Formats: sequence, structure tokens, C-alpha cells
Amino acid sequence: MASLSQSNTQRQPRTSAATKTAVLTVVLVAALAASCLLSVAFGSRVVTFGQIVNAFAHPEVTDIASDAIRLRVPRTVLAILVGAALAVSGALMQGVMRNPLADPTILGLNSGAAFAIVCSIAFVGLSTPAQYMIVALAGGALTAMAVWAVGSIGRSGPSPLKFTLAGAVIGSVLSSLTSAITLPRTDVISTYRFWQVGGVSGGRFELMAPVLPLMAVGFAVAALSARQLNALALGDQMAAGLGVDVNRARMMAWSGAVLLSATSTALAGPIGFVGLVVPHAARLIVGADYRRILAMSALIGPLLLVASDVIGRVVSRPDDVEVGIVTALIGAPVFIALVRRRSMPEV
Amino acid sequence: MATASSISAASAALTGLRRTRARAARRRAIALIVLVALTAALFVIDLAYGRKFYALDDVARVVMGQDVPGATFIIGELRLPRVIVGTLCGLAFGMAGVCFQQMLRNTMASPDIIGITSGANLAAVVGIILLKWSGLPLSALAMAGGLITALVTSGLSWKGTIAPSRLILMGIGLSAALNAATSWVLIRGDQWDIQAASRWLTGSLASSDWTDVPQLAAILIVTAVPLMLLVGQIDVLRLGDPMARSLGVRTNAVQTAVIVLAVLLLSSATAASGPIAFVAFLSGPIASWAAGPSKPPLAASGLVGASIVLLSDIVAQHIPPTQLPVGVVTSVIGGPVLIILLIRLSRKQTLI
Amino acid sequence: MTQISTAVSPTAHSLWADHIRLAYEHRTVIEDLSLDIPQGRIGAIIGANGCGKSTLLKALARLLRPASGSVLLDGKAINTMPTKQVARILGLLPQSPIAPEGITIADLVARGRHPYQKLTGSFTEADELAVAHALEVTGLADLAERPIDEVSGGQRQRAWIALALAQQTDILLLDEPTTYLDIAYQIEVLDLLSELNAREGTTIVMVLHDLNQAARYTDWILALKDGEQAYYGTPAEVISERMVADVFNTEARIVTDPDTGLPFMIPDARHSLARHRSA
Repeated sequence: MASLSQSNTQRQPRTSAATKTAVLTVVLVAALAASCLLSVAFGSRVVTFGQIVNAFAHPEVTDIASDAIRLRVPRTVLAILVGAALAVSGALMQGVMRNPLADPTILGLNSGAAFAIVCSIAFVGLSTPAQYMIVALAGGALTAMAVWAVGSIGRSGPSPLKFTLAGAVIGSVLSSLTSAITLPRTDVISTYRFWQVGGVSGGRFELMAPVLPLMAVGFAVAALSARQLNALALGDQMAAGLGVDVNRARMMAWSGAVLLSATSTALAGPIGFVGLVVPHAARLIVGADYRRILAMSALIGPLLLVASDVIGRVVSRPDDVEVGIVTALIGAPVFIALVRRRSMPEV
Repeated sequence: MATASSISAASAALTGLRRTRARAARRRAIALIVLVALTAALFVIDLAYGRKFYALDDVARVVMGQDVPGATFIIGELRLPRVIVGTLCGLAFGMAGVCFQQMLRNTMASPDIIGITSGANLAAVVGIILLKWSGLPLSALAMAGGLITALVTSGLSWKGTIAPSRLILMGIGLSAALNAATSWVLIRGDQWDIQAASRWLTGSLASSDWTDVPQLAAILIVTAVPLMLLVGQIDVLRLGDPMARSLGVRTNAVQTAVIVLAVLLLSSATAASGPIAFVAFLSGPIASWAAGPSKPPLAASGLVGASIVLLSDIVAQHIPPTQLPVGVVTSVIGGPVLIILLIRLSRKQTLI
Repeated sequence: MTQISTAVSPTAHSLWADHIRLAYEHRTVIEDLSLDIPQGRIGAIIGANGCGKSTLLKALARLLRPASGSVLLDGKAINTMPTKQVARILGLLPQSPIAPEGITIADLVARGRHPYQKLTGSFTEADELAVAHALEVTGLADLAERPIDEVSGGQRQRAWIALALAQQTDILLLDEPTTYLDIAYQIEVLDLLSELNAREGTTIVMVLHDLNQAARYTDWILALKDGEQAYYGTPAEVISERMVADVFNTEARIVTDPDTGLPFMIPDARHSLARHRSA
């Protein structure tokens, strides 16, 4: 009925919007490719395009330029993976919570990972990156379970509001405990503060490999959750009316989000703003359909992180500015603009 | 205009009105008395009960200014300023927090959530690590950090009027950015400075001395009195912006005044003790529960804040094997309380 | 243009919109509108969703400053008058006011006395009497001590109206006072406002959705279309098949209510009519 009455004049803007999205997608893909290239080329030493080709074509050559390139490739790959994982995870969390501010930091998962790391340094004496990774993964996952458990207290079962509160509070308590442990132990502080800023400079393929399957599962779960998130966005009752098992759908999307954020925190430490800002930008471009939002997030997230990493390397050569700082500096103005654009209902 | 002469003094409406107002006033009064007694008791316990216990009459004599061998220094120079600073900071956190929550009609709108604390933190960390400041200049810097953050947040949220939900969103976003900047400054510091900065960030009364007291007390009085006078306006603001304006409240002026006063209050306390976790957030809801919903519970919330800080200070010194900063204790105690409280609230209130 | 007679009492206040243009940021809602609110009468502003009804009401209540032109209260620009002084003359019941959690009905209604209170916030006997009177006429006397979040929707809406009554203003503006109420409560609220108008001579302007209610309860109706005055006059003049087609973009039949002689609108639901005719 509705489609019959739809006139040509109404259809026109939709087509042009679709074209615009398509063009924008192409531009974004091109921008990502360009940033990746820059990421391999720039650093304390700038290499030429020819040298890059050369380094790949002749793996046996070991001069300074080739070594630099070979170090930068895993770093770039890590930035792509972490960027995509964080952005998709943020989009999932915002969908589950129906809260525009949900992200791994605000929901306490990063505090959980940090707490686990600090405990392992202070009490168990762990010290290698591989060990930190496992501990961070476990810490993030355990915290996620705690948030789920606390968020489900009460007769009404899990609700977006209780989740957000549980996450914020648990995160806060864990960071206080973290400082309680670090304060009397200067050695722990000095190790921990570097982990805490987050960065991709430590990217190495052999470290990434064991985590990749988990991340892949996370992406798969995210893809499967998209349709259910569309239903959840209409409210629990409406979603149930559409035949969605609300709690199961929420649990599934939450597991996907946790897998993705915990693995990326394990690989790169806590990096803020990607999970918070990217899904909003994606929503702005593609609209409210979670299938498109997730896909677009998986494109913009890597772009933001790779570009931030390049900028961090370029602005203060030969030092790096940690990528987490740059994402915050880029993300904050975007976030401000987003909040200003939104028309706010009276609360 | 309407004459109310048709109402006889004994009408059901009038008795109902008088009874409900009297009941609310009684509840507020009882809550205040209980809270004053609680704060006073915790004050004395915190003073008397340290590594060494002092008899109450010794404590009283020291406080009166007499010289008690062995007690005058410990109590008069170490514990008394610490306990006074703790009390004043608790009052300030409690009052500032409840002002924001009531005015913006949202429990989430506490200063630690909307980024003001993060601004003070960044300023303090910059002061400690990059500028190597301490004492009064450092306090002033932290205060400036909090104030500037509040003004920037409100300015960016301003669209003819301050929509509470926009202010909260904006604050959460900005505080994430400020926290990132804080960790960035932290990795550039020396061991020793990091220690000082971390202690400050956790919220601690350990380094409080008499020099903190006068400025803190002065700011508390200068800001608390006007805030108390604004309670009636804040109360009407709870009916929503359009209703408040139609009842003759100059909403923008009142909101601006309350934000400036509350932030001054909050950042002076933060400058003295560091951000003590959850006090600003928790005091308001607890005070509303105790004093009833009839008015914004400004004084009650201040007293709840002072009680939380003093109780946590007592716990921090005695329960764990090593002395902890008071902020750790408020957080560990406050977290679960907050969850219970907000789950209760969440049945009726929307979050953002 | 029709002149609506006024019922002027010596204390009556006048409210007049003089060539106002209303805009949010860059979006103009009302281009140029003048309206002299008939004193001591009940009026309704009607129109399709988004036509600027609520915006106009907000401007009349000084909540929205006109981009140009001005709203005049007793001949003075309302935005330049002390807002507390205005609050003793003109009251507004917005569409979705917020009740602080847990407070009693009496406590809520007492907030209507805010314009009369000094800085110290003391509550005088005059305040008490005004609140008690408001509770009485809204039938809330027995519910005075009940928490507002435990009463029915109709009772809650009456409590808000009682708050506006306690404000003791000569002019009362209401934004959709009957929305979300069932039919019994809708009639109750409108009857209450009619009584108020009859007894105290209060000037009432409300945004209404139901044309038949507007026809029965008001002395004048302003129909807005795309932010412009499309029709203005008595209900009998305004409510017509042409107006409904023009303003609401839908077909309707207007019949005459045999009891009151007032126009009565019957929406022209094509499908159901067709079904019954063919049967």
C-alpha cells in the first residue's frame, strides 16, 4: 500500500542518498589504503615507494629501510584489526545498551583488563607481552561477566540502564583498586602506565596470531547479531513482538562485543574514543540499519586508528605520540560536533 | 483575582496541605539532626582513633587549645587538620554533587561523570609533573582546571538554553579526552612525580595540614550561602525548563550561577584532597532518601558527604594492612551502594 | 476579520502578539502572525502536527523570544518585564512537565506559589489558602497527601492544573491539556477550565487536537496552517468542511449538534463508509 502511493518525487532523494553513501564508501576505502601506505612509509625514517616494493619483493635483503618497513607492516595490520574490532564492539555495545555512550571504557572492561595486568605484575611477577595479553583478555572477559551478572540483578532481568550503571560502577571500583595496588609500588606504576596509554607500536605477527581466531569469532558473532540489534533498537517489547528472544539476542551481541574489545585491549592496551565515536559517524553516513552501521564501523575504525598512528609518528619525530592520545584528540571534536547536532529531548 | 475566602480553615485540602508540609519539614529536620550527630561522632572517632588511641578528654583538651604531653602534636598538628580538611571536602563534594543532580534532574549529572573532575585532574597532573608545582599554586591550578572544564562543557552544550542531556553527553565525551591527556602526561613524568600524581588522582587526605583549612573554609562559606538561597529556584527547576520559566524562574541565570558556585566549591575541595571517588555522586541520592523528596537536600547532602569521607578515612587507616588513600575506600564502599541505589532509582528514572 | 467580544473585568490583563516571527535557530516556524487574545474568553489553537501551535503558545508565554515583532502583556513587551511579575499574571501548563520523584500532590501544587515567594522561601497563609483552594476546585482535596507518582494519569493532570490555579494568574495557557487522558478525564479537565473561566473570568488559551472539544468548550478558534493564520473566529465560523480539508488535509463532514447547535465533525473514513453503504 505504502509503496504504491510513493511517488517518483519521493523516491528521488533516496536514490541520491544511496549514491552518496556509495561514493563516500569508495572515498573511505581509498583513504584507508592511502593511510596504510603512509603508515608503512612514514616514521623516524621516511622510505620511498620503491623501497617498500623492494622490501617485499626481496625478503632476504636486510638494510635499514627494509627492516623499518618490515617492522611497520605488522604495526599497520595491528592498527587495522584493533580499529575494526573496537569500532564494531562499540557499535554492538551501543545497540545492546540502547545508549549512545556505551563503549569498552565506559562499561568498565578496560579497567578490568588493567586491574588484571596490575595484579599479575605485582603479585605473580609476569613480565612478557604475551603474558600481559592473556591476562588482559581474562581480566576483560571476567569483568564483562560481572557486568552482565550485576546488570541482570532484579526481577526485570537485564536492562540497558542497569548495564550501563553496573559497567560504570564496576569500572570505577576496579580502577580505584588498581591505584591501591600501584601506589605503594613504584616499579609497578612505571610498567603499568605505558600499558595504560595504549598503542600499536608493539605489533608483531607472532603476538597477534594466537588472538586472531578469537577476534574472528567476535566479528562473526557481530555479523549474526546485526538483524537482532535492529529489532532491539525498537525497544524490548517491540522486539519481543517481532519474535526476537530479547535476552538471548542481548547476550549474543554482548559476547561479540566483549570478544572484540577484550582481544583488542589485549593486543594494544586500552585505546579510547574509537569505540565511542566511530559508530556515531557510521550511523550518520548509513542511517539506522545495524547491518550497515557495523560494516561502516569496520571501515572507519581502521581508518581512524591507522591515520592517528601515522599522525602520532609524524608530529613529534623521532618520538611517537601514543595512538590513544591522537584518537582522543581527533575524536573529541568529532564527538562534540555530534552531540551539538543531536536534538535533545527534555529529560 | 481568585479569592480563597470560600475555603474554611478546617477544609480537607487545607489540613492535607498543612499535614503534608509539616511531615516533610519534620522529616528534613530529623534527617539533619541525625546527620549532624553522625558527622560529629565520626569526626571525634577519626580524631581519637589512629595508630595510637587517645582518651576523649585528651582529645577535647587538645581541641580546646590546652597542652597535653604526647597528644598535642599528634592530634593538634597531624590529625586535626586532616579530619577538618576531610570534613570540609566531604561537605563540598556532597553539596556540589547534589546541586548538579537536582538542577539537571539526573543522578548521572554528578561532577565526576560530567568531566569537571577530569579537568581538575589534568590540571593537577600537569602541575605536578610538568611544572613541578605544589601547595597553593597547585591547588589554584586544579581549581582553574575544573572551572574551565565546566565553562567549556556548558558553553559547548549551550543552545539558547542548557539541555541537561546534552550537557551530560558532552561532559562524558570531554572527560574521556581529558583522561587520555592525563595518562599521556603521566607517562612523561619521573618516578617520584608519578607517585605524587597518582596519590593525588586517587584522592587522599594524607598530606593535609593547617594551610589547607582557611582557604577551604572561606570558599565553602562564600559558595554555600548563595547556593542555600538558590534552593527554592533549583527546586522549581525540577519541574522542567518550561514550567520553571513560566513560574518566573530565570532559568539560564540560575543555572549559570549554580554551575559557577558548585564548581568553585567542588574544585576547591578537589584541589585540597584530590578527587575522592563517588562522594559527589552518592551523597545526593542518599540525602534525598533520608530527608525526603520535598526539597533539594543541600545541607543534608553535604553532611552525608562529610560522613562518607570521615568513615572512609577511619576505615582506610585501620582495616587494610597498609594505609590506603581515602579515595580507594570510598570507591570500594561506594561502588556497591551506588549500584543498589541506582537500580532502585532506575525503575522510575531515565538515564540520559 | 471576526471580532470576538471580550468579557472585560476591571482587573483583566491583555495579551497581544504583534507581528511576531518565531524561529528555532535557522528554521522559521511562524513567519508573521498577529493575535489579540480576547480577554476573559476561552480559545483554542488548532492545526496539523508541526504547524507551530506549541511554538506560538511558548511565545505567548515568553518562553520563546520572537525573532521579530513582540508579545505585549498590558501593552508592554513581555520579554522585557520582570519574569516573576509576569508569572503572577500569566501561567503556562507545558505539554510534558516533570514531577519530582516522590513528592505529594499538595507539595507539587504548592510550587505554583513560587512567583509570590521571597528569597527566603517562606510560605504565608495566603499561599496556603491559594493552594488549598486549587486542590479543592480540582477535586484533589482528599488526595493531597498522596505521592504524585502513585495516582492515575487523570489525577496527575488535574494536579498540574491545580498548580497553575495556585499560581492565581489572570491568563492561563495550556499545551494539549487533554492528551494521554481517557474520555472521562478529558471532559473533566475541560469542564474544570470552563468553570474557572466562568467563575474567575480567567482568560484561557489552549492547544487542542480534538475539533469537537474545541467547538464545544471555546469562544474562539485559531487554525494554523504551516505557521500562518488560516482561519480565525467563533467555532461556528471556523469549523467547516473546507477548513478541515484545508488545514488537516483530510475529508470530513460537519453536522450540527442538535443539542447545542454547534458544528460537529465526523471524519470521512472512506473505507468503513463504503463497506456499510454496500452492505
